[in-house]
Amino acid sequence: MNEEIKIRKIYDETAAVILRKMLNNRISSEEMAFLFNLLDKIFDCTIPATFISVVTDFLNCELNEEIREIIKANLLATDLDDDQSIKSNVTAIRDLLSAQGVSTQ
Amino acid sequence: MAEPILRQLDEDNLFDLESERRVLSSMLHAEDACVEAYNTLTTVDFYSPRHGTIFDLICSLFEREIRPTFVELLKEAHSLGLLTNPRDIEELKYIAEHYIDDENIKYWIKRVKDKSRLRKFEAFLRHSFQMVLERQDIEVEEILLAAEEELTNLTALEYDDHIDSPFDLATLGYDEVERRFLRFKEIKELHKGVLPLDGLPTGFDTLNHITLGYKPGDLIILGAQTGHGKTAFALHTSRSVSVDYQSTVLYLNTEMSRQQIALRWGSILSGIEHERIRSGDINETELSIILEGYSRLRESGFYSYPCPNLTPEKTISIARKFKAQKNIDMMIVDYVGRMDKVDPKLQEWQMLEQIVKTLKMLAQNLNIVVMCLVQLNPDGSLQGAKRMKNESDLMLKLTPIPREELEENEELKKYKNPNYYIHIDKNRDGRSGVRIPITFDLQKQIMKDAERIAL
Repeated sequence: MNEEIKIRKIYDETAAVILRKMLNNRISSEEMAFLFNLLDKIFDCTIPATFISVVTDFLNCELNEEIREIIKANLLATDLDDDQSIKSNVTAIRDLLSAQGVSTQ
Repeated sequence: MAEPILRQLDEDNLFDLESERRVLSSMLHAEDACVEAYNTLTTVDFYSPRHGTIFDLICSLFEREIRPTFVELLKEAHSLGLLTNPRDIEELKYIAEHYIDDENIKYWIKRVKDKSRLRKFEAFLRHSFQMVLERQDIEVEEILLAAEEELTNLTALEYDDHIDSPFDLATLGYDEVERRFLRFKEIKELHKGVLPLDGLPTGFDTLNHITLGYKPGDLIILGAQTGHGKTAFALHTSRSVSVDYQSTVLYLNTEMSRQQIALRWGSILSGIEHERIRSGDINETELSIILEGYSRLRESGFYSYPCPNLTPEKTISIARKFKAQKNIDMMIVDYVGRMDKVDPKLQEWQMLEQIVKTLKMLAQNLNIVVMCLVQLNPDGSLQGAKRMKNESDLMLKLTPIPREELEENEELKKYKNPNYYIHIDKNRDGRSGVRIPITFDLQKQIMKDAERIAL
């Protein structure tokens, strides 16, 4: 399988997983829309690496429910088409993670 | 006895889901495939209702200029409440994975179309068979004629679009006469004798008067020698149609860059010398005049597509896309001599003839005006292919007026500063062999009818 087809398959499968989760009520419509946008941006290579890194840090750490919800709200409020919005939310999330003792890149 | 045969057809031959999936998948992955399928297929060509729905969704995204990716399709379907169970998603994913190379799209579209026609044929057979079974008092001649008409509709007419019945033609004729009658009344009462246009404005009063404007379906050829105003004429026409008249123009340029085209507009819309704009040698008042000009361009219907390696195929694809997405009224190709050869074996005149035929077909199929610019030889003949003229509805030539003629021609002395002629070499809808004196300010890139000196 060539690289291009492999990448496209990952894209299709990820999109299908997101929609499936929404249909099974595991995520909300708002969360689905955010994840779809993020997926497109990642595959178009138009999302800053800092944003990916802060999302990765968030997903890989243990946090209490309240902080987790606050960070999630920050992520959902990020306008992925607006550099300024990405920058300010990355800073806010990093601050929240640092306050919880999570070291960020 | 025929029933089992028809049943067998139903099962084996009447649809090709694989081809349907491949077409839909290609539409998700390549814009060219999207343009081709959008223009060739309709929802009913898909056997599977689900495939038909997906086709509709992709077309709807395409028309709104949203790239129809898999994710956009999921979003669109979800927002319309069309994806309600996980099986739908699996089906969609399965379709998305049926990717094919762009070049094969026509093959798969043809397969979908052929199966669709075959289903119509099968319905025709069933219907005819049923009629023979049920009607004992059948009039053979009548049933055969009806069958023949239906069958003809399935073959030739599907591609030739339409044959006018006597009723159609009489209705069309009456509507046209009535329209002209009302227009004539309007001319007398409202416009005080000035003919209103039938098509898009040409940018010249005299040319408007003779042609009544550029009409949808028309191919207009404008010839001029190198450096004698081809692009200026094209942009003058664009200004008239898209800025002043607020219609939509697609301008394909094979020679100039985006910056060059944008700068030319600065001059055309401000009346300030092009050279001074290019060098930046302007004062603040002029700068604000130029900015005001660009704000008019911003509100206009002018779409520019600089494309140094334009081919006839690409032209078709771009025109169809812009017709679907922007509903263009006119397309200008500047200029055909620079279009790439598709078949290297073709002579230049053959290639030009083929391009012009393609453009005429596009004008008719999309019901738009197509203007193409060609190069004239120093003796005023058409460079490349004289036969191009045969394809055109209006053939114009732009030539400088020789100095001797300016000095000797008494008629020209009735005009203020004429320096170019627009020759109407061919006019399918009216007078030809006419020369219109115009004033072309090369520095300001502005053209206008030569003004008559008041006596």
